[in-house]
Amino acid sequence: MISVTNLSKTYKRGKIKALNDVNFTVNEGEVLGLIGPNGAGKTTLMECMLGLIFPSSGEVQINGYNPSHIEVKKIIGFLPEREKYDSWMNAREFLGYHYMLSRQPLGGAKTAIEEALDTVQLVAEARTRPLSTYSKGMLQRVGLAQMIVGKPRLCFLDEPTSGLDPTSRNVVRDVIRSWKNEKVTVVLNSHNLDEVERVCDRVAFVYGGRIATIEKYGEAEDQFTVIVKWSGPEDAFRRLEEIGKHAELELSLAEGSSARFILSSKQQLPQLARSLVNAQIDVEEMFIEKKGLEKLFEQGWRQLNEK
Amino acid sequence: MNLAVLVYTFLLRTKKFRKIDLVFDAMLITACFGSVMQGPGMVQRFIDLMMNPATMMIMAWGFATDSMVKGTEYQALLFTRPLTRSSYVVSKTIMTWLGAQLVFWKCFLALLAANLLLHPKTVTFFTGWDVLYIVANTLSFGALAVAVHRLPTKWAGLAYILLFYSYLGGAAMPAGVKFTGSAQSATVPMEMTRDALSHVLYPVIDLEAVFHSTTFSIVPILAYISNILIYITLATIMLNRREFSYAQD
Repeated sequence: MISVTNLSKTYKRGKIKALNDVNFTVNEGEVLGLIGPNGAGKTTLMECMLGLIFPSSGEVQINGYNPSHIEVKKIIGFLPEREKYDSWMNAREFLGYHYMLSRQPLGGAKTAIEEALDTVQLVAEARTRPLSTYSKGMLQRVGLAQMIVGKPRLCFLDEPTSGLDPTSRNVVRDVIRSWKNEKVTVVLNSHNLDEVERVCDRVAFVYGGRIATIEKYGEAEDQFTVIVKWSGPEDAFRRLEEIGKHAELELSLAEGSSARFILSSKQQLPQLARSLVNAQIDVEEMFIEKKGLEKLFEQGWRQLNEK
Repeated sequence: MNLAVLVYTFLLRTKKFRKIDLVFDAMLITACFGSVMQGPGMVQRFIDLMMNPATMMIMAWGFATDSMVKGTEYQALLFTRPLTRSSYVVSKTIMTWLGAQLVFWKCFLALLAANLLLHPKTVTFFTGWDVLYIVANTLSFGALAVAVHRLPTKWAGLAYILLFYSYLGGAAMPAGVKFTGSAQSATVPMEMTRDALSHVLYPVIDLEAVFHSTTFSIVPILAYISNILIYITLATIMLNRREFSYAQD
C-alpha cells in the first residue's frame, strides 16, 4: 500500500537533514507505529507520506501513485497533532465541510455526521456549540470524527492521545481498533509506547531522520518480565531465588512482597507458575509487564550508535 | 470548482466576522444617512467611493482569506482532502467575486433605505454601465486578492497594504505633484509608466468607455481577461509550491 524508497528531506540547502535515506513499506490493513524521540523526523516522514511536503530525493508511493495524486487523497484520513480547527464552526458544520471535501454523496451527510459523532462519543449538547468552547479531549474527538466521515482506507494519526484523559484515550483506541478490524491501513505516530503496543502490528523506531529498526510487534515482545506478588512472610524471597536458579530464570529485582522474573519466552510461564505452587508461596498476583517497545527503543539506539 | 470551498468561504465571512460586520454595518448606515442629508452631490461621492478600486480591495479581503487559524496545520488538514489546488484557487476567486458584490449591494441597499426615509422621492443611483462596472471589477479584484492571499502568511498582509496605499498614492499624485523646469519633460513618461503599472496592479475595466468610444478597441478587454488569468495562474503556482509542514511550528 505505501512504499517509501530512499526518501530524504533536507532544509537550508542541505544543511539540515530531516530525513536521511528512509526505506520501508506498509502493507494493506496493517497498523504501523512510528516511535522515536522529539525531532527524530517522525512528523516530517508523515508529512511526506501525506504529500504535504516534497522530498529532496527518493519517493513515496501509495497504491502506485504519488501521495499528491487525487486518487490517493480520496482514501486518506489525517489527524494532526494539534487541534487547530476553525473555532467559529460547530462540530456539525465542521464535519459537514470535511464530508463535502472528501467527496462523499451529499444525500447521506446528516446520517454520516451523526454516526461519526456517536462513534467518538461526543455529547449531544456539545454538537451545536462553537469549537472554541471545546476542551482538548472534545477537539480530539471531533478530529477523529472528521476522519471517519471521509470513510478513509488509509489513516495517518499524529500523536492522537497526547494530553488526553483516559476516557478520551479509550475512544481513540477503539476507533483505531475498529479500523484495524475493517482492514484499514493505519500509520500511527506516537510517544506513548503503551498505546503503540496495544494497537500496532509493526513498529518503526525513528531517530536522526533514519529508521533505525522496524519490527513486527510480536518480535519485539520476545523477552518479557513477570511480576509476582505474594502474601505472608517476606522470607519467601529466598525460596523465589531458589526457584529462579532451578528454573534458570533471572530474578531481576525484588522489593517488599514482590519479585520480578525475566523470561526469555512465554513457554517458561507455566513452569514458573508450577514452581511457585510447589514452593507453597501464597501468590496474590502474577502478571506480565510488557517491555517489548522499551527493548526496541534500546535496540534502536544501539544500532544507531554502531552506525 | 469545489462546492465545499464555496460554502466554507461564505460561512467564514458571514459567521466568523459577524461582530466586525455589525460594527461595519453601523458605520455604513451612519455614512449613508450623512451622505443623503448632505444632498445629491454627497450621495454621488459616496457611490464613487464604493466603486473605487481601493474600496473594492477592502471588500474582497475577507472572502479571499483561507481561515482565521494561525500556522499551517489547518491548511495541512485541508490539502490532505481530494481537493486540487487549482480548483481551490478558482473556487476562492469565484466566492470572493460574489462576496465582494454582496458587500457592495449591502452598501447600496443601506443608501437606498436612507434616501427613502429622508427624501421619499425617485432617485437614480446607478446607470446600467455602473452595474456592469461593479460586476466586472469585483471579479478582477477578487482574483487579485486571492493571488495576494496565496503568498506566505507574513507577506500577504504587507503586500495587500502596499497595493492599497500605492493605489491611493498613485490616484492622488497628478493633483498633488507639480513638475517645474526641466522635470516637466519627465511628466508624460511618468504618467505613462503609472498607467501601464496600474493596468497590471489594479485591473479595472471601464466598459462604458470601451463600448461608447467612437473607435472600439479589444485591447482593454484582452488586458483585463489576461490579468485575471495571470492572477489565477500565479495563485495556483504559489499554492502548488507551498509546503504545509507543522513539524517546525
